[in-house]
Amino acid sequence: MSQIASGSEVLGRLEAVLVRKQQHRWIDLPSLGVGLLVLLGGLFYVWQHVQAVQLGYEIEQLKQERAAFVERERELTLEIARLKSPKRVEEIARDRLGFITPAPDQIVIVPQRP
Amino acid sequence: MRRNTHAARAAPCSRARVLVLFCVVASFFGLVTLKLFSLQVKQHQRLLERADRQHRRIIPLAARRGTILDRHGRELAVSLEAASAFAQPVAVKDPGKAARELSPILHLPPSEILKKLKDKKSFVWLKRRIDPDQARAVERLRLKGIHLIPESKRYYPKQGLAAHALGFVGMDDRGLEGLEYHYDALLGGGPRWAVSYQDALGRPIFKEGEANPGYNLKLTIDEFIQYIAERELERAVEKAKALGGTAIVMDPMTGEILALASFPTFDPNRYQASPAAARRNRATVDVYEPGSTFKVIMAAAALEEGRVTLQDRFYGEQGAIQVGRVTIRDHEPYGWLTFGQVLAYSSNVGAIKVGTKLGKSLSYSYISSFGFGSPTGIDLPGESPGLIRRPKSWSQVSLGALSIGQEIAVTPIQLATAMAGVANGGVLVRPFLMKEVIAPDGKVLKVTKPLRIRRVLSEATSRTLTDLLKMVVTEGTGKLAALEGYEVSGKTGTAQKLDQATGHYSRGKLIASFVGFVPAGAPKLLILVMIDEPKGEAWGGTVAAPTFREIALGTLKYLKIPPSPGDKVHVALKAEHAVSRLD
Repeated sequence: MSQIASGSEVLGRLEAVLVRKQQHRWIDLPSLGVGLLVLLGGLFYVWQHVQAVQLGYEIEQLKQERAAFVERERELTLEIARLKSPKRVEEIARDRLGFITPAPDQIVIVPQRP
Repeated sequence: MRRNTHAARAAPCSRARVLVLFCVVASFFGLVTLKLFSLQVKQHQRLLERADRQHRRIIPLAARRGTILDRHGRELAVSLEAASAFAQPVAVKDPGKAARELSPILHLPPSEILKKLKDKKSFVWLKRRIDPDQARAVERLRLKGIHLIPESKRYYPKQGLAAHALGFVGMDDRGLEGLEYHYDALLGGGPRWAVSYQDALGRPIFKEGEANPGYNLKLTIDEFIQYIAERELERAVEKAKALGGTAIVMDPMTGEILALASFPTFDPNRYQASPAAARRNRATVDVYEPGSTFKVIMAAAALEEGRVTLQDRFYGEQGAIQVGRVTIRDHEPYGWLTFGQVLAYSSNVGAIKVGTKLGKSLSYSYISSFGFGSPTGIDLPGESPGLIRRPKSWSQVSLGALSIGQEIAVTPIQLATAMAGVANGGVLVRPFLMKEVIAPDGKVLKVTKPLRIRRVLSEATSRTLTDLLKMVVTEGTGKLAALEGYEVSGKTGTAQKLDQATGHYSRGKLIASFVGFVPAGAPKLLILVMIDEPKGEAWGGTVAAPTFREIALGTLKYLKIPPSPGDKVHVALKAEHAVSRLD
């Protein structure tokens, strides 16, 4: 009898625990969800902030690289301009390559065909 | 049951612990709240400003100066970035150490740097526009109070080419002379400051604002024609052992300046190394008495007004004429001359008689109408207006003197512009150098249109005068300007310089010049050559005319302007004649 009684008592307790657990589940899940959402939101906020700063660094770095390339291009353009200086070209043509200015009678003008 | 008893015993103890913990946490939060209140409310404004100062930094930017290009887009002036080192003396902890470390990098004596670092100013330049290697070395030192800022450095890749037209910029990257000065507002760009947001370590996160680069300018100058003009001018000046000279090449139809050369010249990259006299743009600043080249203007006026005709003959008085108390002579005694011959042989006596027929009032009116006595409006700074006195202050000699190009001071650009008026059918055009304004993205913002100032001659007079000026080259004083295959119209000039010491015209100090256009029938080029104080055989026809010829020949070839068919026949006949003579 006592065994039966204790068995029913155990069952009663178990039921109570289950009910309590069920009650707890019903209470805890939404708060857990909200908590998680808040946490995720916070993390997202921090993450995007960190990302923005990180991208800022990268953009600035790329801008500097771009500026350096643009500058290099300008330096090379300047160098080309210097090398193409008519005085330099003429000196090379005349002194190194032996070119001469053609005399008027050495120039033949070929008329365009109609 | 045992458990319940245990729990009942533990409850007061646990509550006490919870209470203590609560108090600790509450007081902690209380302190945090108080601190927060202090930071966020009480010190809000002050800290906000402090944070702002730490995160935001105003940084100087090098607003890149626009590029100057020739008419075909070839670079004549380009800016590159160059760092400049500066110090904030107050922030430098150990000036002696800093000076010792910076000295070998900046190639400055330590004492000089130390002097700057001990300065009481909040900002001192250490060295401006240093090489990239030097800049990196300064950066590596990481000295407190020593900084670098980007600046722009101007380079002229063709060295002295078109130096007088281009001008140069000063230390602050602002134009000081020439087109650099005249178009400084367009070339300069701006603004020159930006806001940079940085982290706690001073690394830039984000930059607000970009320096707007200046506009690019495309000139009317052709790099190659400029080179030819400079080369030939230099040769002429050196050959004649002259003081200097000027050569102008212009499109007489539009007023576009294709070349503007002055000698002596300078390198705008190192303009401080040259004397001020070499930097003077003789073409627009110097005034001189034009001499016989001015006879063209008086002849044009006389023809236009019908005061002379081609049939008129003038007696040369065997080479001397009395004007007031002055005797004016010809370089050779002449008898009867036609109007054309007066110009061709450059007879002073004949020219004075033409001037007398024209009269004071009309002479002055035409001289002014051709633009003498006022600036041409060329887009260069410091242009001289020249000097022409009003008829009421003329002496008895003045009209005669003016007829042969004396008692008037002109600039080479004025004379070239006036002659362009004769060449192009009678319209005075404004000479100009800036053809286009181009935005940094390549978009053309402005195109300079040729400006017709006024009609000075009828087309008929212009044609007649062009024919007369051909005679100057074919049979007159300008024979050395002749080009095979091309008709040339032009006029020589040999003017005595006024001796400042005596107040009289000097016999030895002359200005030799030639101004002409080619091909005469359809002029493409107007060229003026002026040589200052040539030695030896110093006539315009012997010193300046051959230089005109060489510039014209080189330019016509470069522009691929073929000889006219009529002249080809002329050349062919000459060749045939030469062959037959050989036979």
